[in-house]
Amino acid sequence: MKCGVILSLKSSLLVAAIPLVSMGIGIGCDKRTTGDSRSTANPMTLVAYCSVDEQFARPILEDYERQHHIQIDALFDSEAGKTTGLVQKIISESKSGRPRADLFWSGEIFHTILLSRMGYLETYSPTTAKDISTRFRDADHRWTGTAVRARVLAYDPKRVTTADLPKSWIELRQERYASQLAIANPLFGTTRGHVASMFALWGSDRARTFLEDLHRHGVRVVDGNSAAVRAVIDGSARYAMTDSDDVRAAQLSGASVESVMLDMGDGGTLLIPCSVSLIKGSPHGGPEARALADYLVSAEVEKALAQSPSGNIPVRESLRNELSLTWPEETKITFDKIVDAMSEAEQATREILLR
Amino acid sequence: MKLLSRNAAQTAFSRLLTVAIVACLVWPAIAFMKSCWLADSSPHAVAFPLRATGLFLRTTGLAALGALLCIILAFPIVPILARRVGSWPLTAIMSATLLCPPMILALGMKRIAPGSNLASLQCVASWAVWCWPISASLMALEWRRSLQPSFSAARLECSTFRAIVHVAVPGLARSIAVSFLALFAIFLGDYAVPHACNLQVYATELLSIADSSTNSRELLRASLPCLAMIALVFAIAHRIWKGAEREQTTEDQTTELSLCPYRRKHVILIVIYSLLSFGPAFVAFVGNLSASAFGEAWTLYRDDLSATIAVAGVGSILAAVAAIHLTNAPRTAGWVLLIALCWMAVPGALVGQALVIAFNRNETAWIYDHWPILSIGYFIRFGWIALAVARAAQSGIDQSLLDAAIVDGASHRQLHRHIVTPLSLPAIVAASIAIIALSISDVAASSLLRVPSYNPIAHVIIEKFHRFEDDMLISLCLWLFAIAAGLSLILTSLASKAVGRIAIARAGQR
Repeated sequence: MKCGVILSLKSSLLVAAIPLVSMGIGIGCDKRTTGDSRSTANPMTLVAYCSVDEQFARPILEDYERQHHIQIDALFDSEAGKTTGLVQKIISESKSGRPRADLFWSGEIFHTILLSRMGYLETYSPTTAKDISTRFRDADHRWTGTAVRARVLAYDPKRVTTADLPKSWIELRQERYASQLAIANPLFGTTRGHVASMFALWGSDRARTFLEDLHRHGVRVVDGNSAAVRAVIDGSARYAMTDSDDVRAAQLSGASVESVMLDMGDGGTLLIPCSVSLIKGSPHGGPEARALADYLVSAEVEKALAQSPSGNIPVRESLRNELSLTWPEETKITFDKIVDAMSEAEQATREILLR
Repeated sequence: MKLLSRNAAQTAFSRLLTVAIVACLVWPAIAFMKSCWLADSSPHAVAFPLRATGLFLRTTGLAALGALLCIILAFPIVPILARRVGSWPLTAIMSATLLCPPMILALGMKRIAPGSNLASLQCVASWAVWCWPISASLMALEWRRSLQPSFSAARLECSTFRAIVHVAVPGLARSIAVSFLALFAIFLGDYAVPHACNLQVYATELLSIADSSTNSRELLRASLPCLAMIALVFAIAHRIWKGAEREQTTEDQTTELSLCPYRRKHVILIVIYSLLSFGPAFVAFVGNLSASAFGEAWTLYRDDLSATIAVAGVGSILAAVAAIHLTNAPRTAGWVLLIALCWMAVPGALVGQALVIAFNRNETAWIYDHWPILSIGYFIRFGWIALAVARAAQSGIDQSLLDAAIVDGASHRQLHRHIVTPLSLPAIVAASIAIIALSISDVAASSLLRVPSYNPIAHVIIEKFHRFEDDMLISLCLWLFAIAAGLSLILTSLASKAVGRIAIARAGQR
């Protein structure tokens, strides 16, 4: 019978072997070691989970790799999953007794504090953090904060004048603001922390009323902070609760958008630092991981982030002076109190805003 | 003795492969259900909040509209595709369309039809332009098999429009039903295109739940509407499949069709479809593509680009191997296809979480900690395409060919090795290309399964979108498209040659 392609037993085996061989080659070429990576770990390889934006974090990590001849496998957060997704990975991997990451470099502080409270972080005080204020260092040395971003209200200056802008976050509950406001899902990321800070500072009743007013006046809940900025740019919203770096990214792309820091109610605004922490029981934990933590917390990296398009504000006064940056008036509420209020804030968000 | 041991080895290998395929499909489901059984009840009082319900209904509407538009869009080209099965230009255009990153189509659509209030239209149009080759291929298969003679006869009796309405559409009912089901499932679980159109869909909600909680019961409960809806659509499609009449074509007719030359109207139609497929991408390119960003994209992301395509390729190879193997085991194939179709109904976020639960163990660290977990995820998520296509191709094989081989003394294994598998191969290759395309653009499952060694390019593209780096986004899409399209051209060229040799061999036999 003559017909087209003939598959003999050898060909069948070859076809079936292709994916297996490919996997084998892939694992062999993979940067990490095969088999039990805990017992045969290459000490010169580190795994970092990183929710600092990839375009800023990657060059910093690559610089470190070149300087110290260490390989860093970085898992960046995705806009789909955000910091929350990485944190859940750390939790599920730690719970199963096999944490994969050595270090967590987060773009915010709240989830880091949650991980710390759950006992998943190693105790370590970076040697380069001595000049950082105690407000940005854990009392138990489980995390260190640097390079803050501000929570801001974004708006299009072509459609909104400065006279139209509110002075404080609580004013957003008014219909003229709330009906034209876009916010990221308050169950995730920095918006989660922001809403929790309202609960921590204003009290439960006042914060719930705020959310109810937002919902009643038709606030638009979008996928993320940059989606909120996009809503302002495309005209579907006049205001957006977002982070300062998202506004800067939009401005650099040529979009017409400005931002203003609003008063939390105690004379200051909410500033959210990046945070560096070591994972307890990590496969490559040791001097290399600590050295990387020292580097990421250092003034050198903080300066790089400040000078990047992200425009983070250094927590170090000396750096701010060097870069001629001013420190905004900051809210008095502590990060620990904000995290204490997160559970209640999440519950209220589900009941009121996302029903 | 030697023959006996060879047969025994073949049988043992066949059974081992079947067990591996079934285990791959079944184990994550078992692990996930066990996790749900052991999980605490969800702390959230409201099972299906009004907002989530509204989001689900809207997403269902969008997905249905997208699937319908895809089928309508594909319809005009079906007769040409049926006549020119395996033709290089057509398969190249269709492959390239599928492999074009859908986000770039969405960006182009946003420029063609700007306005935030047109987001749903942008999303549906992007889906239709992206996936019309899938419905076109399925309908062309049906047309080629049974419809051409009756349609030609009908056109002699009445107008083309009446022939389409009264002959073509009823004749293609089975393939339309299957197309609708497949496309509906794909669009219901899609994240990238709605995201690019600033649209919130139910896939976003599910991914948020999967990312924010390790409680599998909560994710399962939230996924139930998706499972139920796809099961409903499956039931309707199955009913249509059983109810539609099917006419067998003669082998002579099939051979003659594949040798028809192109006419001018065919060329015009192909040009129109090329413009339709690549026009939105071109519109997105204009003003956003820069040489520096193009070079920088390669410098920064070449490892991620190649790894993305390679991992997706391995996933599609797994599916193709499973499909080819199961043509040799028809009794098992039905059951395996049923299990794979169950995964079709499962949202990507749930697939991801199931695999995390199944493989996040010391014993399977060699899978979980490395890229194979992603390939397995793509196989589970999209492997049903290859299995279903192989089964459909197998059922379309001329029975007289098989009867003649049996009369000549061919064994069951020889029948499948020398007739069924070669004749099914081109369809399986086409399905593999579709799987690669869908895997590359997958966000939901890969978000949960990502490994530290590389970043799936779909996530990088979304990140660039959110950083307003349109030039880098376009450059990445272009690189991805160029590499993936190049590989698919090689595959389709091989498949076309295989089809040609089969056609010539058949002609020689007569």
